[in-house]
Amino acid sequence: MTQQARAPMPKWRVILNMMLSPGNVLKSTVSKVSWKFSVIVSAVAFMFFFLQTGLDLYKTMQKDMLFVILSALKGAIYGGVAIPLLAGLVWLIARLFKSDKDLKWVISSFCLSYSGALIYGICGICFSLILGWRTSVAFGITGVLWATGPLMAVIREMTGAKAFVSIVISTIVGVIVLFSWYILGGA
Amino acid sequence: MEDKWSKFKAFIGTICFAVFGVVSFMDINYPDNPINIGVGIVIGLLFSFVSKKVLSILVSMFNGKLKTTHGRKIVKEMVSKTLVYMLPFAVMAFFSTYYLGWTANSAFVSSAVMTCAALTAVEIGKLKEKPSIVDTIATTVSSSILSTVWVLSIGLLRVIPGYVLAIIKLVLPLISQFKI
Repeated sequence: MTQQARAPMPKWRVILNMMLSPGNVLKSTVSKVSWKFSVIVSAVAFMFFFLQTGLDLYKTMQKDMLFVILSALKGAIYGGVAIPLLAGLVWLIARLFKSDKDLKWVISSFCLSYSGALIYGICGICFSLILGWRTSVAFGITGVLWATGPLMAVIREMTGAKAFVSIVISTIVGVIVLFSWYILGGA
Repeated sequence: MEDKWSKFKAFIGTICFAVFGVVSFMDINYPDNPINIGVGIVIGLLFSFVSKKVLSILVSMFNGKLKTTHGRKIVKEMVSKTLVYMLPFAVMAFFSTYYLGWTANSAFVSSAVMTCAALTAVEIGKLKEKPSIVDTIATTVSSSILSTVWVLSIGLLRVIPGYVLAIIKLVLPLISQFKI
């Protein structure tokens, strides 16, 4: 029984819990999750998000299949490199508010915040490929917006429950992600 | 000080609803159209009022005890306070509509309402010895209803600015005649 209690949480449950109840995951699970796994979550989430944009433009005959593949690749690089870099920037800012969280924790929790985007992304791709829907807004944007809640929780945790600071930083991060997707995704 | 801060948070939340109204009623051909902006603000504020009421009523139904221990207005205060978390969504909705030219902004409203409702459940849970799943269910259900109502009603209410313009065009000549 004790061994069962100590067993690490399955990865799919970490993703689902981070989407539904980020506060509990941040307090108990993030420190046990490899930052590499979190970066993969973010990379795959953005890959699906950008892929949906590419597919939408392909379906309306505005772009070719090469663009779709390149979109997915750009998304993976964006989620795997730009998001951890953004996390690093937020870590630096949080140090002004005497944050005691280390960089690995910040990257891990920041990237895991996009767990909702990953789940929405998987659903979006299914609807896009099986039913032929255009899903970049309904599933893609909604998924990325869903990350705002967990992001606020992460920044709150980093800044010692400073609610307003977390709201302001999350707003800036959200706007950066939105504009960068607009530029890179060709939306 | 705490009271002023709570009032400020509630005020920001109300402004966010007004922003959602403005972006939802934006005229693509004339983004600065004062009639659309005015109607958007009014509808946004109306929805803010309805949202606060619906959330408060639903959460209050399951938290009778809390009212006796923390005061009659505790649930209403909690709901108003957490609406400040709409700010990132309102700012993103504003930028996406006015700078990126998107018109599909219902996702911002839905996400904002859902996030705030979830946070209301968290805040209510902090006041209790043991957080209850019932609060989470109540806020999730109410936020789902509210965002569906918003998405469906905005489509129907988009005709209002046209009616307002027609009324103005009808009334203005009458007023000018009356002045003479």
